[in-house]
Amino acid sequence: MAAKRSAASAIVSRVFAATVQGMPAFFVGTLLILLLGVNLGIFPVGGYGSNFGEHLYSLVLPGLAVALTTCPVLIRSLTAALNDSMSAEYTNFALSKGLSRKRTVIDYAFRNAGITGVSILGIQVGHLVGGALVVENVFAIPGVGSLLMEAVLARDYDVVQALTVIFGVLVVLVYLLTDVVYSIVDPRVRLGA
Amino acid sequence: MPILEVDSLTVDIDGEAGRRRILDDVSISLEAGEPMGLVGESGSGKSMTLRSILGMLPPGASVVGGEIRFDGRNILTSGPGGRFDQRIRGTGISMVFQEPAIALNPVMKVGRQITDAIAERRGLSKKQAHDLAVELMDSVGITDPDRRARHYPFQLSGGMRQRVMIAAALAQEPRVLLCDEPTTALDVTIQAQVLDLFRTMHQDEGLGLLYVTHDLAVVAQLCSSISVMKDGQIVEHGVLQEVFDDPQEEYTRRLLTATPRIDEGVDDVGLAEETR
Ligand SMILES: Nc1ncnc2c1ncn2[C@@H]1O[C@H](COP(=O)(O)OP(=O)(O)OP(=O)(O)O)[C@@H](O)[C@H]1O
Ligand SMILES: [Mg+2]
Repeated sequence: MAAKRSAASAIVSRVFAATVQGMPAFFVGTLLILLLGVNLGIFPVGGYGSNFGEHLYSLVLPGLAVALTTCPVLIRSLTAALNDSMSAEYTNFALSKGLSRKRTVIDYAFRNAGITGVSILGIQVGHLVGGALVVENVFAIPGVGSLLMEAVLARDYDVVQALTVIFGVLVVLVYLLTDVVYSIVDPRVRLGA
Repeated sequence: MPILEVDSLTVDIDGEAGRRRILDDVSISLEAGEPMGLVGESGSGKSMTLRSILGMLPPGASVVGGEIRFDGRNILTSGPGGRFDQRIRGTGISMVFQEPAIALNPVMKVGRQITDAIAERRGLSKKQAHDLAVELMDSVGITDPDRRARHYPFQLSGGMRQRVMIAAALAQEPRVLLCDEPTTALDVTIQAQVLDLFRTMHQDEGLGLLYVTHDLAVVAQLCSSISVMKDGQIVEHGVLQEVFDDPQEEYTRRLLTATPRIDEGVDDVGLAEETR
């Protein structure tokens, strides 16, 4: 029963991942605007509102668009990593000691699969720093992304340069943070294997 | 009644080259407190036999016939839903895996790996679990166990990892211990200490021991009976002394003569003659 359910959810998540992976973020964004903004009218179709509550509200759809296009790679690599660690010898060893399935999955399988997850997530967030720019434009959010676009079109070199440096620093910071987290979850990195 | 009976166990595995039989009509009968050696050439199915007993065959492999009885109960079907009975793992049967380098969790301290299962079963505190791990590590000859318990597998030598595996298997206080070449990476003095430990366990506490090794000298020191495997079958079985003195199978004879003996010159070794 449980095996059947997990097989079904594996198929669903794989089909989802494959479908969304082929779609660029601005396309997913436009779809979301059409469906949830225009047709259903649940969310604003664009803009940023005028107070903090409205800001957050306006960020739901862009956030969703970015999340939907970011997660397929994560889903795939995490599934693969988890499959590997579930059939790894150390998982057999854990079960052979009579450790419960729950603890085995958490302490042995997840812990090891998580290491892969962290490094991939880091790279993806790094991409996001620059990559969210298009989505920002689709949703007409007055953010750094649109500023950069405008600056490029207006040949405002000073602003372009400044923003490039800021993006660069942010990406480096994200990668640094990834390495820090990585060394927390993997003792081999921390203690130097 | 034997504590563990493998009865006509037959296992097939599906591979690229189609279906292949890796265990063929394997029968083993182990009494409580009996140490049995299981020997045979590489690839003869020793590890697969042990894995079947714990219900841990590799993907694609399945039991197609036979029974495995623990305490008289067929564990292949006595689990919930008529499946393998996982409840025997740990307290019933535990195992020392062949390759500690891959069998230990790389991101967990070894002390915790030794006692996490027993701590979960008994509700031990962190401190109690650690102390127990230290005690067990000491008993398998790991020096400075208190510090070593806080190390990760990659910080230990091959021989230490092997002893951590042994400590983890013993920590479960099993009634049957399956050992897959547990002492191959140990030097002779440590090996002697570990063998002593196994001896005490089966003599004093009635531990049934199924001991896979390539080292017939270890079998001679430790075991009272021996089974010999070849190509997935048990080709010979008997009381140790009888098999050693009068091997019935050609294969066993070759195995015995291929072991160099200290009281013979190198020239007398069977293997050397064969390859000449
Ligand atoms: N994961 C696997 N997938 C497919 N076939 C396997 C797998 N593991 C082992 N086998 C096959 O099963 C047979 C028995 O292997 P097994 O590991 O039991 O040998 P062994 O007697 O333990 O050898 P060794 O002394 O080298 O450890 C071999 O023919 C091997 O090729
Ligand atoms: Mg083996």
